[in-house]
Amino acid sequence: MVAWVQPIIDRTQSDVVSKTTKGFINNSDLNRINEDISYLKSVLWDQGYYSTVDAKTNWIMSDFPTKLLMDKCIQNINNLINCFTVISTTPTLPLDFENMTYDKLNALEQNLLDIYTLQNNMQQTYNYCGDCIMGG
Amino acid sequence: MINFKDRVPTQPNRRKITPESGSPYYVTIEYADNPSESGTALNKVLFNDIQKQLLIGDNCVTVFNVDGSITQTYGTLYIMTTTFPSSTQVIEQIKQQSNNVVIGTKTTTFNANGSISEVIS
Repeated sequence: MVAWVQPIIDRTQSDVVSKTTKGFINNSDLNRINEDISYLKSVLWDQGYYSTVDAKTNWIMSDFPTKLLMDKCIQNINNLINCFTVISTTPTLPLDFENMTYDKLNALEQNLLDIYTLQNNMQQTYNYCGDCIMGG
Repeated sequence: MINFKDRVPTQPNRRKITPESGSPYYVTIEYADNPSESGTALNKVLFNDIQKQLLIGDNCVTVFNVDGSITQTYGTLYIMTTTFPSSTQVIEQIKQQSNNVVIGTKTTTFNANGSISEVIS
């Protein structure tokens, strides 16, 4: 299983203006997003939440981000949300990568972070065999 | 059949304690028992597995059909049909017996590069 990589959710307009690394979408960003999608699919699957995810985690600089591949990325996140849950404060997922802005990309990765946080919360609250008494 | 759901908290293990006399307050409770065995979690995946075993068990009847497909009947609940539309593809479809509704399909494709793709819908 791929490792969880902390999403970037704090891009600002000044990142775009100043052309910092956070102001661009590079192959490393696409790999991070897709690796996190793959990670979440695996951990949720182990908890009984089954989704279909086909994430490309091997982007290189010369790859062309076709609409098909980018739409699939959004669809993968939608599939994770539909099989699990997000919270009321989770931002709306962008419909696609057309006219992507820094705040839409923050929102996209915030969705992944919220799913990650919630499934961690869920696992922390499990009771275990030997702990519980019927009706107790 | 029960669709078990896990509780998904935004503030895990937070509890409200109300003394018999005094004002309520909140605490966070977590295991601190240094277990030698972490144990089996009582969660959705466990209960679903138990339920599946109880409902289906080992009661599966397999029939190899003349058209090359395979039909597996699980108790009175599910029918799984496996078809082979080509030499590189296998389709497994599960239906509920009671209403013939398809509840899941898995398409397995053996790719030319040696990899295998599985799509669940």
